[in-house]
Amino acid sequence: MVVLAGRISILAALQTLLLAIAWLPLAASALAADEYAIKAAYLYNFAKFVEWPPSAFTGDDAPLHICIINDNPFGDALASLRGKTVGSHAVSVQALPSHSDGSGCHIVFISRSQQPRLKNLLATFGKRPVLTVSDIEDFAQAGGIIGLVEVEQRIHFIVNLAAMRHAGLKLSSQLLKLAIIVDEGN
Amino acid sequence: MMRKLAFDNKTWGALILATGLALSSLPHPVAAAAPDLTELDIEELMQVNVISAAKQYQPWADSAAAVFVITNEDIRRSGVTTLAEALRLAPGMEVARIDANRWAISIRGFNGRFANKLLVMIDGRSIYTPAFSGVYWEIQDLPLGDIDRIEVIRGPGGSLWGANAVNGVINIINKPARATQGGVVSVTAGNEERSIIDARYGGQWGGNAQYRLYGRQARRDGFVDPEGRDAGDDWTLQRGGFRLDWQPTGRDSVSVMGDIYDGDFDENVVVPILTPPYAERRLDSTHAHGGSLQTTWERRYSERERINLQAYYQYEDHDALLAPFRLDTFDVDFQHNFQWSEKQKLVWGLNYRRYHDRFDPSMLITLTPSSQTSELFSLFAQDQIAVTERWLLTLGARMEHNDYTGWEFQPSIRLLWKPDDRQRVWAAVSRAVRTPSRVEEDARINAMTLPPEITGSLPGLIATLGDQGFDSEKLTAYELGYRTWRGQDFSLDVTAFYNDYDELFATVQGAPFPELEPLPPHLVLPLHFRNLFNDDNYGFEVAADWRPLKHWRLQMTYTYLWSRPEERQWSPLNQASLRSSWDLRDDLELDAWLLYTSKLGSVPTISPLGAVSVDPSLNLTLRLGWRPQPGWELSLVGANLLDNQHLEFVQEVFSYPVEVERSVYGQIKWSF
Repeated sequence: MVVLAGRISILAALQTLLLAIAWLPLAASALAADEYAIKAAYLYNFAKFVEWPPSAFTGDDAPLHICIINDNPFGDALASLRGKTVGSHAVSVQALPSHSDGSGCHIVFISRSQQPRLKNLLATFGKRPVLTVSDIEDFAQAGGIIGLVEVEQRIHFIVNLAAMRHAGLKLSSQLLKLAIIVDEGN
Repeated sequence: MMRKLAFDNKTWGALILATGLALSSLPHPVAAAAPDLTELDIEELMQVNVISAAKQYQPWADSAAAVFVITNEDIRRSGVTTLAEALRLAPGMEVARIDANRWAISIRGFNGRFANKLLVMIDGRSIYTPAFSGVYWEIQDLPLGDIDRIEVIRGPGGSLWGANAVNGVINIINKPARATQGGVVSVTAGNEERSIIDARYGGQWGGNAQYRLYGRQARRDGFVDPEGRDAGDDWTLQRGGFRLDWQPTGRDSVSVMGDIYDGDFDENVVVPILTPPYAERRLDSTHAHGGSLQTTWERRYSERERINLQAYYQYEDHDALLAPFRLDTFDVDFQHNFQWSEKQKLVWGLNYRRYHDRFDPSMLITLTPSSQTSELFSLFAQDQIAVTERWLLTLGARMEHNDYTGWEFQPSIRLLWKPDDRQRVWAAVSRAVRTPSRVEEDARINAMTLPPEITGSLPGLIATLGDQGFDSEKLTAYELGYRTWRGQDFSLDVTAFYNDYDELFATVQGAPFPELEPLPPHLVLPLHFRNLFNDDNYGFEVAADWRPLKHWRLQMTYTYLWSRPEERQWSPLNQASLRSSWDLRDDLELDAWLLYTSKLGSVPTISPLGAVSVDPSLNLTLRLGWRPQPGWELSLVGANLLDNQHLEFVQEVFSYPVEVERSVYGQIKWSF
């Protein structure tokens, strides 16, 4: 019991010490999360900061469709997007079969398994107001609009400005200043 | 999907706990639930660490070299308390403890206290000292919790890393500051590890920078001599340091780090004297201190292109009987990685290094000149070519200029074949050099005294004399490797090598001459350093990793090294290790580690013990770890459990054998 009491008092002393140094900024400390939970949150942020031409929506209250092409690597992570809104548009998430032309989609996430078909997919979406996003290696360089890349265990994003212009989309400057930019036509 | 990475989870839990503690007086208590990431803006999202699935093995899979990675988790569960001991986790490593505070560490032979064919770097900063060619391991007693991983590359790395990466390269990589947020205090105490106190605190600085501060103090008990008497080789070391990581823009990252240390090491040495009995055992009190300051800047232009610029300064000061010296190092390094076509990735770089040393004359060693500045510059390039989807060819070379031997050329060619998704076969031919040390060029070392009965009249002092014409040692290495894996549950890595050395160090007898000082008059029997002999060795290394059950992991390594019989007094023929990591419950871990080392041949010493050989040894380490509640970890470790004491190595010169003792210690770690 004596030992135990001793240990507790050490603990108390250390905690007092800790509180004394609590002026050190602790907020916004490093979070860690599953890769696709982070990527899902990115998709939502892209929805907020990309401007589609009015023709892309059937009406002011029409939903914003986020489509995942073929097998869904997100698991349950997309559930957090359901029920969210972007402006007046409710977010809708759906998985598409790989042969789908993705009509009606605003954001298309192309999963890694689609790498062999990447050229065809980009040709399908290239000139429509569809934001293509993928974590396939060198996606933005290959003509996709936003590539998600892992840099030192964190997710960053690469924007292909030419591809974005082709699609008739606009990206807010807030987003652009954080992006790695490539400007290659394809 | 989530990789089991206990540290990140724990840090996170501890952080929430700590944040809760620190903010408990504020109006908005922090919820302990997982955060909704969709509430974060992009800038915040860019700071979130990825707990990545299945990526861990990939980077090494396509490497056409014998790479083994010791992770932070491996170190934690091994029960070791020093960096040097942690290296035993990798296949092919020869790690032998000379006494409580000295190690002989090498790869693929030529081991010794002054093992000179292994390059070691901490976050890109070389800790290989050109004063005597080798690493002072005792002063590298880093806080193990801050180490992210140790990459052990067996075989030559000269084309990428420069001279002295002859038999291998060890890269010690510390965690970025964002991975060490919050505080950790740990206390270790036992019969040998008298007390080790680690404290660390990390936080956020503004919106896009993170820092950490750490301190470590370790007091360790000495071991015993072969008769079981206390050898008196106690040591203490304190060190402190910081790291600041700053991301000024989305594509730039800047790191500044620094550390200082100060330690006292008592070492047993037998030194020659000129009067009977002509050798004397001494307890040499070494005082060492030093520090470093380093900064790196990385810019990523795209996924395909980045540049790195790094500069560091470090100094070390050893006040020792053997060789009192101070060394200052300044280094600048530039690297540019880019993909210059669909199929080719190029990395090239430039390096400049400046050394300034100062040796104080001692009774054992004198250097002429006693102080010197030397410079080193180099240029390297490596091209990785995807010849087809299945064949990867890597060509690399480095040109390096040093003041002793001029230009050194170190090329390598490596080929990797990917027969399918779970197998790799690779082969490599490479050349590396070991450049001369100051001692080999400029030192006189008084090694031993022969009594007048042997020499005839005067006592004979055998002294080695440096040779300013001493050239680099050269290696041409041939390697062949195979690796295979089945997801995360099984992996196997086998490498075979043949090493062909040229112009290795040797000593030749010179003409004796009389010397009056110090008294009494004596005859100097000189030995000159020369690049005289060629040698070869070969062997293979196996590493296997298997998870028979979800909560049970087995790791096995085996190392076979054939070398000339004369070399076997330094490097064992066989080594094997088997480690079991078993999660008894979510909060309870039981680890066991068996390590076998075959015998070493006899080494002549000038101690009263005469020639000493090292018996084969089998060592067992057991560790029990318990996390009673989030943020707390208690562990109990027993090392070298199978015998009271055993000899692991006899130092090359001035050696007095000291045996390693059984050690038991407990550790309490609190993360907040």
